[in-house]
Amino acid sequence: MSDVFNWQLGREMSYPYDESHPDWQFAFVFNINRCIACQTCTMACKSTWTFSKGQEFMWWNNVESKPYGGYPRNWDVKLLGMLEKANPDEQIWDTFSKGPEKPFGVFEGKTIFEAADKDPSARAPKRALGYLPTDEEWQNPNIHEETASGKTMKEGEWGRSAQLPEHDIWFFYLQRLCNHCSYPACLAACPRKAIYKRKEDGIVLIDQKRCRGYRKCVEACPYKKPMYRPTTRVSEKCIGCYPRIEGKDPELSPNREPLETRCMSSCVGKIRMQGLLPVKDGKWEAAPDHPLYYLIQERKIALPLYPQFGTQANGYYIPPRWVPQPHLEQMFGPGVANALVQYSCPDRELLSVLQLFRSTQQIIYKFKIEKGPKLAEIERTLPSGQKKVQEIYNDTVIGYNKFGKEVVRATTEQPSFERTKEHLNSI
Amino acid sequence: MSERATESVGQSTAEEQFFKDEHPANRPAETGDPMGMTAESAPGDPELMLTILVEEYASLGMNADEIMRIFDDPFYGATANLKRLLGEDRIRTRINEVVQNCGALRVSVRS
Ligand code: SF4
Ligand code: SF4
Ligand code: SF4
Repeated sequence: MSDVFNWQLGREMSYPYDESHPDWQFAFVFNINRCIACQTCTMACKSTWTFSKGQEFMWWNNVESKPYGGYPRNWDVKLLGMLEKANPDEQIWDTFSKGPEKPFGVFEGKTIFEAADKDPSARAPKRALGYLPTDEEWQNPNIHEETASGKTMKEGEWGRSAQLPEHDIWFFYLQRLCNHCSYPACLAACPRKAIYKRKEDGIVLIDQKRCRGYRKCVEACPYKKPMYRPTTRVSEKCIGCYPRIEGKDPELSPNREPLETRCMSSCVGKIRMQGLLPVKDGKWEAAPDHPLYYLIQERKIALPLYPQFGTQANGYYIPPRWVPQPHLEQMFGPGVANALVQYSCPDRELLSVLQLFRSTQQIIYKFKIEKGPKLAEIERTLPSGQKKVQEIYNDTVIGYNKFGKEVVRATTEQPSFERTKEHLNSI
Repeated sequence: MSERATESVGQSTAEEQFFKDEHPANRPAETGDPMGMTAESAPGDPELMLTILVEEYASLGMNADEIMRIFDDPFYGATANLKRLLGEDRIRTRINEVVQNCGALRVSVRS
């Protein structure tokens, strides 16, 4: 085991390999407040990468209802339980020691790597605390929400064939894919070294030729994102749509402009933004005019999912404003209160950056804001349910691609145009 | 169906269970049933959720009718479930209240 620095935990932690970092890191921000659970992202991934035999239960991108639900079923509750058992009452954060290197304070508990030797079921030493989900747990990605049921119909019979079940107890949707972690547990656990993290973008891939289907990655990944394919007898996972990241789509990026992935580009609710962050000496290079750096590091309104697992995941979430804080803190760490207050009533700069979500398919590397006149004052609802007045300015945010070319320009306000009925479909 | 799934539903075959003409939400819980409900009730305020979702879409530039359409579509789980829970009138009133407060900011995008 080596000691590596995990900024999300504010401390060094044990990891089976030495510290090593890519030149750029794939990362994304999801604004949970806007997700309408349409599953367009899920289908965009499925119809691109996992539509073949043996991949029927594979959803590299999934959107699950919280607090219950999950794909595989109860993955997070199970792992949190295992960690608690391994280190009872000690999974805590010291939030007093906040500083520039440790924005959330210091996590004093044990990560999945540090608790690996505490697994009573282990027959041989493990690299990370984890478990192998059963087939049934993989089968219903959103049980009682999208699992249709009904009567089988005879040939030629029509009518009440399939229904969606109904339930009342739910309160938000969590969008998930592989986090292309800085300290991947899947990679750490693979006995064949078949998993690698690409130098050029930090995307984590499974080499299909080297993999022998031992499923150690499936067991070790705390987010349960590698999946076993019985037809090929090897494991597969999200590939970060790397051909798009490399700008290899001849139609959409004729000049090799990097494009956001399929699941990001297709988001109906405009909740997703993805990009690449420059890494230097193991850290993200300070880039306050990079939209992801701005949201994650400058403003700290986008937070890592279960940072206590210890993989330094690169998926970040703007937490939902209507959910009780203790629940969110377990999920996103101690940064929740600050994120909620800032996001609930965004200032003019933040509001402008938020307009960049889903404004273009190209990856934005830099933004600039041009100031405009004040438009209005509006009332916003704070997490407590209280109201606060927000000032709105008609600023323009401009996004630039990898080559410094302007690719998008979004202003806060614009007159709206309605098409007449007869021209509804005209371009 | 895997062997385990068939075992777990007791006497009847997996097929009989799955196609029973009964809504799954009304079925009694069965130990080891892979389709079993695992929900727990949680403190959450659907009214607050409604207000915030409407604010989000209003600040993206949608007007009251456009926002209502997101609630009408059964394939948008979050919004469709809210409408089922609170009723069309409550949704419509809340949308009008929020839009009156926020106005609908139109976002212009040029690629
Ligand atoms: S989320 Fe899981 S599969 Fe993806 S890089 Fe991290 S540990 Fe590996
Ligand atoms: S990044 Fe690409 S491969 Fe990964 S979940 Fe999204 S669509 Fe699927
Ligand atoms: S496409 Fe966007 S809004 Fe729809 S479920 Fe996916 S993340 Fe949510």
